[in-house]
Amino acid sequence: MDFRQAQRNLELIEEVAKNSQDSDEPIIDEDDLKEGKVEEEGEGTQIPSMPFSDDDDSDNNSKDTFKETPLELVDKEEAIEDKAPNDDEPVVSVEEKIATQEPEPEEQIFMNTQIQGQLDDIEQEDNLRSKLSNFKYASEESSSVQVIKRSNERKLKSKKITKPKLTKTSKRTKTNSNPSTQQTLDEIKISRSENILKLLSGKHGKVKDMINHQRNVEKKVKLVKNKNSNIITYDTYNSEEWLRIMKLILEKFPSANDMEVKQVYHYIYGEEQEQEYDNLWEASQIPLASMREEAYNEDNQIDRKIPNIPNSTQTRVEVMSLSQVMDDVSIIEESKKTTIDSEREMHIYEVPDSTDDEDSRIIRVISGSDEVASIVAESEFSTETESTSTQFFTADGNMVDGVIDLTQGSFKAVTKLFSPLKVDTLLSINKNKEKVQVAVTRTSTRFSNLGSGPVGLEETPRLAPDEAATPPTVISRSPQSTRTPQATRLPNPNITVMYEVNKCELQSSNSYQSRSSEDIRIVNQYDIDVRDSQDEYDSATEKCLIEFAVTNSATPSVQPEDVMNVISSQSVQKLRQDLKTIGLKPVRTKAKMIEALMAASQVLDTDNVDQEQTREALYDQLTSMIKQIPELVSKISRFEPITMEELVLQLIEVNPFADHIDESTIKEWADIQGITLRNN
Amino acid sequence: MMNSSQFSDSQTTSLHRIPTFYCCYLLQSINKKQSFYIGSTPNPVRRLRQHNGNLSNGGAYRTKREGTRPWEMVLVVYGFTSKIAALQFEHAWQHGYKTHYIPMDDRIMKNANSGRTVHHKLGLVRQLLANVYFRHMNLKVHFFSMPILDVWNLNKFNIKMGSNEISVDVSQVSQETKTNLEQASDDDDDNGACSRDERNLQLVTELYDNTVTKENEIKEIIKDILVLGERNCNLCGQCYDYTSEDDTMKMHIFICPNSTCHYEAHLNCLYEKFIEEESGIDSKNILLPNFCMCPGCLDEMSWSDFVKISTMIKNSFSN
Repeated sequence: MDFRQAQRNLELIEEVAKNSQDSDEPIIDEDDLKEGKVEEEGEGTQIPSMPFSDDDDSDNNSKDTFKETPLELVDKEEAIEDKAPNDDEPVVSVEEKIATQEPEPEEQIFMNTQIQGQLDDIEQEDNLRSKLSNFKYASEESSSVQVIKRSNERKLKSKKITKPKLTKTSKRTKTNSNPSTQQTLDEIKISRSENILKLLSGKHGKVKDMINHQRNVEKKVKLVKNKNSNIITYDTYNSEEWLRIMKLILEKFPSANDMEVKQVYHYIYGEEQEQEYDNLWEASQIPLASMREEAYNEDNQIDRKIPNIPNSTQTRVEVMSLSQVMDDVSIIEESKKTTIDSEREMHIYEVPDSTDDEDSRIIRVISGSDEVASIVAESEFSTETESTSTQFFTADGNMVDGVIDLTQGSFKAVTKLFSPLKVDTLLSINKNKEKVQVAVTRTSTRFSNLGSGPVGLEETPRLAPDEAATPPTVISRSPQSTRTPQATRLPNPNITVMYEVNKCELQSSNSYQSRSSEDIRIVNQYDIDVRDSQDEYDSATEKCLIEFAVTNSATPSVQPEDVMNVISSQSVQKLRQDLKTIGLKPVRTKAKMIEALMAASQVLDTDNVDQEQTREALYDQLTSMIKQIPELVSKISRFEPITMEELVLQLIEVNPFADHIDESTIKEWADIQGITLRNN
Repeated sequence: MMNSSQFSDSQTTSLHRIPTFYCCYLLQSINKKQSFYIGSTPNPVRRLRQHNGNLSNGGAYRTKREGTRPWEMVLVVYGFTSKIAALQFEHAWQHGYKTHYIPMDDRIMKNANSGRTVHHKLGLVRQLLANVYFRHMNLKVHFFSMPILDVWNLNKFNIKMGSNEISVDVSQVSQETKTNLEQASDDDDDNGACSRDERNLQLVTELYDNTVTKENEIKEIIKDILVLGERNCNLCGQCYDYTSEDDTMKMHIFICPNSTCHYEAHLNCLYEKFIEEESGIDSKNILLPNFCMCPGCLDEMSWSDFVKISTMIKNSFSN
């Protein structure tokens, strides 16, 4: 390389460098210089490493991350500069003059490992600094350093992408030093990269354009970065500022004094709770004094009046989240140890939870002792409630507008509900008592299915206070049932559960027999016969009471739950075979198979596993169904050919179960009955 | 008991009627004894002439084959309650190896190419007549050829007909022809075959004409009753009137053709009565009665006979 070329390069660099305006960065410069030496020593070639070259690997042994690339770039540039004196002896003096900060060559050799170590340290420091800058008050300098570093990094990346060609030519380049030591280090950095580019390409105008474009891009990136950094840092206020803010807030919002709080508490809970309980949760379970007076128990058998609650004008609903309920285990267990106070009155409300599916229900017990409430829970008919239901207890009987008010603190929860038919839970209770009597006010997840559609939370407090006060007069009795396992385990056949239902619900209650068969709970209820429901109408009130009794299986009906269990436990293959043998339509999914078989088991009313008899029963059922269609009967009686579609449609109208029956089954049956089927 | 007025079928546009004579028949080629043809027709006389080419109109493609004509109608199964039922029988008879009326295990022919003998054809008839579906129709078998009747009686496949015996009839003339035939074959005369063909047609015509005439006689008898105007059902007491303009008055009724009886009742009343009686006996859930007799003269009739008369009345005397 001759001197003239170096001179020319120098001039170009200066020209470009005039544009750069970034701040100083002394540390890096120094390191860069040092590293330049190192690399010169280590490597025979002066090819810049990672960002520029693809064939120089050993150069990067200590610097792998992208974080290091800015430094690296500078290093390479320095190295390039330093190359000149070594390679070309006549230039050495000039170059050394230019590179004023350069150490002695002997030192360079000596410093090789030391420099390496230092470089590593600096890199670590830089990394740490860049990380910390996200969390700490970023000082002007450090942040600027970061920004520059990053910008360089960006630049390098983009250069690499946009101009891969240039890197290859770099081998030919000879160094040029930067004489303008007065310029800021940033300026140097940028200008150096520019210079290299220029040198590499030889097309100065083009390089200029590229660099300018790159700068524009970087500015945008910086802007974005700044925004981002604002988001990342969390130090909007320091602790003193926070204290001040708190102070201001406290001043702005006056807090109630203790007396006021006590007054409110007293107003809500009365004196006795205030004295006896300091725990809000426990306090909530204490019935009102007025209610205690009214409560009575004649012989543990007769329904009791639900007293009017004095404060019932106030509307309030207490609802808990499930997690809250589950948290409150300790109280429940504690309460279970206590004896039953039979004189306490209560209601159970079923609060359909709109957020859950219809299976999960929340039962509210109003103003009753938790012990009794737990019995109520246990005597709930459906076993499924065990897992899904939650009970709520309030000291106040009001439940009007469905607003969730957790601040009231007046709840008590039971985590587990038991089937009324289960022995173990009831055994202890029933030892001394003939019957457990429970007043239940129902607002309907179950019955709502009959027509009201999805149950929202708003619907739930259907009972106005006065309604709640009307005595629930339904007594349901569950005498021993033999078929279901639950029923047979019953220790005492005379568990009485009272349900208060809306009259309309009662009237439509027959229809829930036709509910979908998958719903076990309904199936369970279906087992419980409505007895004397017509007689026990209380027409004066909206509510009336029904006496439920578990069927004593005098009628040979199979407990659908049993069938369900049997069916659902079978394999798909077995189910498919069952479908075929009974003569039902083949379906793909197991769920549909179960559904069809369940429907069949209910309609056919046979607990017989004998397939032939099942088929006979199915034919019998079809005949009975046809006999409900006089028009069709008269047609058949006249040997009039009827179409399959017509027949099936009419059968489905009579009983939707017909939809499950396979057409070939119907054909077979039609042949047997002498029905002439025709095509359209 | 259901009110018969419920069943007023004034709404039906095309009235169902049990055909006077709808039959499935078996043709046997006189020249090629092993050639058979199974078909169905409401008018076997016309159809036989078509098969033998005596009538130019009407399809007889299969029986046109060289050397097969003339054809002899060796037997007919008749008494079908509808054209549909007859076609079902015909198809089952033609496809004995796959018909659903015969259980897989009982089939005497296992594939389409098997069972071409007369034994198979007759065996199939026995099987089909034994089927529960066709038993409801009280079908009758009529033979026009003694040799075929012999084969029938041979019952090579030993097919049980069940409790209900199928009424099997043989034309008296055919017994005579048997002897004639023997003579003819002895003479080895071509005229014998020709005369045999003609004689067969006579026998078929005889059967068909008898049936049609019988029904026309019944129709006349009933017409004489119906013109009397308003009549009462002997069972429910409610009236019907086929002289009325009101179609709702013209419900399905049955009038016993027995000249000494003339028992009249709504078809539905009779149906109710029979079903009630029958299900009371063996507590079966049935849709068609099996054992019926005219409540007036106590003549045993099949339910299809009741329905046949009733639908004939309904079709003939209501618009």
